[in-house]
Amino acid sequence: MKMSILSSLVIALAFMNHSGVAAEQSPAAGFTVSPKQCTTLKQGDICYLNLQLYWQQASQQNYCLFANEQKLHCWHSVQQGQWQQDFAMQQDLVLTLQTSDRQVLHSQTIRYAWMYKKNNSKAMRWRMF
Amino acid sequence: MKHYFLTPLLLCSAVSLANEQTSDSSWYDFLQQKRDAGGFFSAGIVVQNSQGLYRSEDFKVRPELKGAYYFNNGLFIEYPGRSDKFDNQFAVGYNLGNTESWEFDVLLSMAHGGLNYTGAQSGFKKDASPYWGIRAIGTIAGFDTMLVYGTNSNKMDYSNGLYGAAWLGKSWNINNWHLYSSVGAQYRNDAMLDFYYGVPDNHAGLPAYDAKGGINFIYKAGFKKPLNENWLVEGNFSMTRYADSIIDSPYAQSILQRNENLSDNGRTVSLSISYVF
Repeated sequence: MKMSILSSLVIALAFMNHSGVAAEQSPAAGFTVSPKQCTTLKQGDICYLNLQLYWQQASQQNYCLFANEQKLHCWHSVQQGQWQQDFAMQQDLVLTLQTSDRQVLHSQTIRYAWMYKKNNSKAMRWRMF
Repeated sequence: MKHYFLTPLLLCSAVSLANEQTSDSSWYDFLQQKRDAGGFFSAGIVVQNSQGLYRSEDFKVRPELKGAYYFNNGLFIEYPGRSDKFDNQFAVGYNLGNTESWEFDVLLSMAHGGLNYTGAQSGFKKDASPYWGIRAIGTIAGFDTMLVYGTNSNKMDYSNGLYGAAWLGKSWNINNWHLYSSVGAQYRNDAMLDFYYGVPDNHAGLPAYDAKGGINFIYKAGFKKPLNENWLVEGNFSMTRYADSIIDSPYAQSILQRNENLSDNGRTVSLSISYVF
């Protein structure tokens, strides 16, 4: 029985490893951003996040990353890239990957969310009512 | 005696500070300025370890409901719960008026909980002491502040009971972990503490005792971490140093001697997860 479980695990690991290699060999265009939401306690509070981004394109070109129309980073003559940075946000953040002629290839919105609504009281909390 | 004046003095300071800020506008405007209508309700599970004069050391898992609602006309009802950085008592009241940085309420809340005493030769059960009072919430020197002053509303058992509380707190947002720390002083006068902790001359087995007014000092620290818009994880630690006149009471000494799991300092550690509606 133990052998059977062990064999299954080995086979599963082999498959996982194989699929990882396969992904590296045939890259597909993609744009992966994490996290997709930043939640703070009260609306208006600064929300902190560590943004991690990975992208891949079919052709080798110059690409730039923008956040709400502000240029964050550019890559030159590459087909893929990754990027990581701490962010402080108070509204939705729209990330776009663009070509050098400003064509938007990918877009992802990081949602600014909160638990309690903003109100005219400093001490009290509001939610759904 | 000086304690009689401490909280009212602080309250007057708050009114004075608020008055300075409202000098350009009339008191009519101040009274018209109410909190936005709204509120919240949350339900969750708390894991709690606590020990004190009224509770032997225990570890329990219990459900917890918290909530508040503030009406357009100024009326409110609130139950902030243990993890609140200030008072955690149920309260109903009326928002008198607000300035930019101060909020003033009249409220009915609780100055002292009910007390059951079971001694070797006798016992008693005394009801809780609600109070009518005024509350100011604002900022002093960069600290979140809450000041309360009131008188016991139920005169059936005793009268002239006074309650005052002053809280100072500070909050920080570190990577969406909302940390807070606060200190509080709760004053109860002779009439109130003697009702609960005084021992009459004719008591069998215990020496007579007149409880003086005294102050409980409370320290709280905790965190709130929203997982998303609805789920909230909270951790809370609080420590209470009871007034000397409470601890020195023969009732308190008697139960402390008979129960090793009670303590002459209060302590609570809790961790909770709740759904905020």
